[in-house]
Formats: sequence, structure tokens, C-alpha cells
Amino acid sequence: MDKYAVQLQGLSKKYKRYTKPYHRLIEWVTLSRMKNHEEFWALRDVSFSVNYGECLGIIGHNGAGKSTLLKLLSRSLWPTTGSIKTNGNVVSLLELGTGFHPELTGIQNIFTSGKLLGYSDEYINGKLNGIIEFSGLSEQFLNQPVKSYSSGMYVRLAFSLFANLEPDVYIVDEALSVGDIFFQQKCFDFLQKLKAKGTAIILVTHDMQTVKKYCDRVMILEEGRIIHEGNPLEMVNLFYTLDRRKPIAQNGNHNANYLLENEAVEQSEIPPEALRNIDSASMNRKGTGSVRIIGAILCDENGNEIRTAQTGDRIKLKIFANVILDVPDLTFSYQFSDRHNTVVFGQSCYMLDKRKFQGRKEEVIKIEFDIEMNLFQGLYTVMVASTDCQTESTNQVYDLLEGCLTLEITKPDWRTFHGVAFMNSSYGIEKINIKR
Amino acid sequence: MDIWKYRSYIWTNALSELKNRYAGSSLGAYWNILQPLFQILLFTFVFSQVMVAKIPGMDSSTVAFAVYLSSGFIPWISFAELLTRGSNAFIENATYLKKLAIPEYVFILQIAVTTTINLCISMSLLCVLVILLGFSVAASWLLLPIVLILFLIFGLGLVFVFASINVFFRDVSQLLQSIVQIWMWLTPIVYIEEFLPNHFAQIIKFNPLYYFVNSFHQIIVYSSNPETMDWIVMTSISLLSLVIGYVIYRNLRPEIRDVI
Repeated sequence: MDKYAVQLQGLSKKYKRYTKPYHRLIEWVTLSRMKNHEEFWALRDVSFSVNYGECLGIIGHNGAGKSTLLKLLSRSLWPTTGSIKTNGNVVSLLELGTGFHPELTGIQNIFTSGKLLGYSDEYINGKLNGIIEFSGLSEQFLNQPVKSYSSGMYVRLAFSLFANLEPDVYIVDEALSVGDIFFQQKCFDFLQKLKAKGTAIILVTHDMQTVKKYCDRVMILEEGRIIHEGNPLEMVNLFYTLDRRKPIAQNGNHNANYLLENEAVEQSEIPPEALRNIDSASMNRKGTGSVRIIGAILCDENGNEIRTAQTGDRIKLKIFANVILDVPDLTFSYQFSDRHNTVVFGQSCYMLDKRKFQGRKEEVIKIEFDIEMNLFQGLYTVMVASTDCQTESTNQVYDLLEGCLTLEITKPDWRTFHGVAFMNSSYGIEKINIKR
Repeated sequence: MDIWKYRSYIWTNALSELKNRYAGSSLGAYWNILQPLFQILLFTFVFSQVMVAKIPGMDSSTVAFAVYLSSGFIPWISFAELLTRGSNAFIENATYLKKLAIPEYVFILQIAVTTTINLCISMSLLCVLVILLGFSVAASWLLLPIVLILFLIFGLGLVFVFASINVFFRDVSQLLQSIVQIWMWLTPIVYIEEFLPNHFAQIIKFNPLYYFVNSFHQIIVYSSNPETMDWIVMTSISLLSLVIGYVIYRNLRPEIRDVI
């Protein structure tokens, strides 16, 4: 066995861009003497290798060249220069469910997609039991056309097929972020088992949690080049600081929801504690996941994390979120609850200034609340959430984390009130005469 | 070799296509044969009854003309189908080509296999029919498969050319519809060569298809062997077509998946 499962050497991919279709014709007729196209390099000189039993993560912004790299790896594109050497079978989850025909039954589809991938009926037949078992789908469903499947079942079946192909190299992309959480866990458990058995895995994703959890090594791709390589945690943190949101052109619609247009040039960093608070919390989490909260921290004026405060202190609540899917209507909120789980105070950005934000895919957003901690002494838990701007309880929740932070309000030197709420009050006092 | 790896895909899909093309209709796969049959009957009627064509050296004109027509028209239908469907092979399977490692030519080969099966069935039926009509079986019929193979190779080469270019210029498949129409009338399929004015008769000799169709006529209608010159022409243009197809496909191949 060779040392590397996959080895890329000087891989580049150039696309030709023609402004007019006939420009290509002119080029052909003149045998390329008249060049009429612009060159666009989606990938430049990418070299790396993946060992057996190693999981390599590749992260990058939209347009950084991730999909091009994926396609080159799965050989659905031809490189312009350079080479990809793979030892053994490569299976790419990019292909998940591609060969499925809606009219065919689950079983029939297993065989047709198997053939599309170049596996014979005999081979698939031998794997059939494993595939069916892994999918967890009932026999009744397997004999129904896949058009009657839910999207989750569809992915289950597709993944089960891939899971049982026993490749030497697995290429995994976002495809797995469909399906329910339990199946996702099953898939990742499975990938880990494979890894332990010596399968090389290349994971291309936006999901930083996954990257941190499963990868041994991470590379950051930007503008078609690999700009950094290192251990997952460092790379993920570095990636956030690299975030450069390009200004998005105004579409002339003045009623459009507020877009974050600041060019995030200054290199900011997500405090590791903030990430850890979300990571390690054993909390209740719900929501669609469209805008994922990746970090939350309570700190003092100087940015140091705090776990205690005194009544009347000014503290900061910082929330970091990663927009996974475009959302037109977005705001962030927090809520303090006391030990009886009574909400003592909650607020959203929208309540403060009536601005509806618009979340663009892959944006990383930082929200900083400045709060005067006018709470009575005691232990409080904090909920943070990304939601739409409905203030009713029927609102759409993208991500909600209950009890991810705790804050203890200690007994102040001088008690200014008692009870749950501080009501900003003042008083006047004078001596008066009463007519008798 | 990739062809070997994907052989079962090519084969199963070619078969299921024949089966499914007329899925839902009660006659099903029989339409593969019935449709050309109706066309042949129509052309026979028009050319033997309405426009009265007489095959030189044949007596009963209607039956003879039907045989003459069928022996050229049946291969022609397959050829036209191979060209028009084959030229869209890459575009129609764009979803696969965008994501899978499956080689592009697999989809062309699949159509070629479908066409070949179809052609073999209809040609066999034609032979049976010709025997039933009282024509004698001749040793020259054994040459038929060879001509058919050369004919299909000629078509396959062209398909590689058109399918590759069609990815970049979608007008090609539209243009091809018209070319196929014109080409049919430039070939003595539904008419008889002798009818043509002299200068036209010279021109159609430049049509590569002429030699193939002529050979079909020679073998089936006249029970004779094609001339040596015809063999040479057929073999060389089939090979030439295949080479040109291969060269063009190979040159355009790296970019096909970029633009599809």
C-alpha cells in the first residue's frame, strides 16, 4: 500500500469566460490565434496529500474554490494542470442521490445508482442487506417509488448506499446537513469507524463544529489557494478572523431589510471562551439552524469573561453567529431567567431599534449588547437566540440556546432595591404644611 | 478500462430505454417496430401508387418497391435517431456529468446500443418478411451485418462530433434536425436513383450515405454483393468518421464538464 490515499500536486483549474458565445467560435476557427476569453482561475497550484485513516477538513468562503476542488477530487471535472493521484476507490458524497430516479423504487434505485458509480449488480447485491439495515427504512418503503419519500428518507437511502461501498477515500460535503439529527450522528459515527479502519476522509464544509470535531487537519482555501494549514481549532478561529464580507450592492429597494455592509477589515477574533461556552454547554437547543450561534460570552468593559457581577454593573453580552442559509429577516435576542426559571428580562435587537437584519450565507456576525445589570442578587441563566423579528411567540427560531451562560449577581455593598426588577426611580422629599 | 466498468450501466439502460420509451402505451415496445412500419407503408403507397415508381428489373412494382424502400429506410431511421438523440447525449445527462466521474462517452454508447438493438430487430424482421413475400434467400445476406456495422460506426463518429460541439453551441442539435431532413432526400431511400436527372445523379455520389444505402439495396433487393469500390469507400469513411469524432471529442473533452 502506498503511503498516501490521495495526493494532489500543483492542481489548478482554469475556466474560460466568454462574453459572447460566438467568441468561442472565432477562437476555434482561428485555432486559438485570436484569444477572446477571460481566464478565471478557480484553483491555483493546490497540493496536499491525505494519509490513510486521516480526516482532512477544507474550509473556505463561498467562491473560494471549494466546489471546484470537490468536483476535481470526485473526477467530475478535469484539472487544467496538475494531477490527482488516488490509491483505491474514491466515493464522493457530492453524488448523494444523484442517480436516483423518482419513479423507481428504493431497491431499484440502489442498483441504478450503483451502476452509475461503476459498481456491478453482483457487487451491490452482496451489499444489499447492509444497505437496507443501515438506512433503517421499512421494507414497505423500500419497495415504493422514491418520489414518495421524505427528503430525510431520501438522504438515508442514498447515504446507506455510499456507506456500504467500502471506499478507500471518502469525500464528504454539505450533503450530510440534511436528514434528521439522529441520522446525521449515525453518519458521523460511521465515518469515524471508517476512519479508524484506515479510510481517508476529505471533509469540505461550512460547519465549523463538524470540522473541529472530526478533522485531524484543516486547510483554509481562499481565492483558489490554500492559505493556511494546521490543527482544527486554530484554523477555525483563524478562519473567523479572516472573514471579509464583501459589500453587497444595494438593490434599490429601500424597504429591504438591513444588510450588514460594514467591511469587516479589522481582524477580529472570537474569544475561545465564547466558543467553548457554546461547545461545552449541556443545554437545550432548538431552531432551524439557518443562523447558527457559535459563540456567546459575558464580559466586563475590558472584554474579560465574567461569571459574577454586582447589581448595577455595566456588562457586555457578545453573541457570535454564523449564517448558514440566507435569511431575509433576522434579529438576535437574549433572556435572563432566575433559578425558578422565571424570565426576568428579555430583549432583542429589533426591540431596541426596529431594524430587521438580513443574513447572507456564510456571514459571521457579532452582536454586542451593553446591559446594565440591574438584577437582584442570585444565580441567573442566559438564553441566546437568533430569530426572525416577530415579537410573538409564534416566531421563527433559527437557533436558540437555553442556559448557555450563567451569571451570579453577588450581594452589593449597598443594596439599592429588593425584589426581582429594578424600576428606575427617583424621589423628592420636602416638608409640607397641611391646612387644618 | 472505464468502458468495462460501466458496461452494465450501458447495457441495462439501453434495454430499459427500449422498454420504457413507449411505457404506458398498451402496445409498448412494439411501437419500436410499428412506427417505422407505418412510415414504410405510407411511402410505399405514395411512391408506388400515387407517383408510380418502377424498380428496374423487377415486375410486381408495389411489393418490390416496399422491399426496396424498407431496405434503405429502416437503417436510415436508426441512423437519423442515432444522430439526433446522440447529439444531445451530453446535455441530457448534464446532472450526472456535473457530479459523477462517469465518462461522457458512456451516454453516447448507451444510445448507440439502443439504436443497434432496434436496428437488428427491424432488419431481421425485414429479412423474414422478404422471405415470406417470395424473395429468395441469398448468400449475400450474410454481408448485411458487416455493412450495418460499418454504417453504425460511420454514425457513431458523427455523433461524437455533434455531441461534443453541441455542448458549446446548442444550435447544433436544432441545425441537425434540418440537416437530417435534407440528407434523407439527398440519398436514394424513398426514390430511385435512376429517376434523377443526370447531374443530380453525379452529385449524390458525394454523399457518403449513398454507398451504404446502395449496398443495402444491392444485398436485399438484388441479392448481389456490393462492389469492391463500395466496400473500400464504406470502410474508409466509417474509419475516417470515427477518427474525426475521436479527435474532436478528445480535444473538447476537458472543457465539456466546465460548460455543461
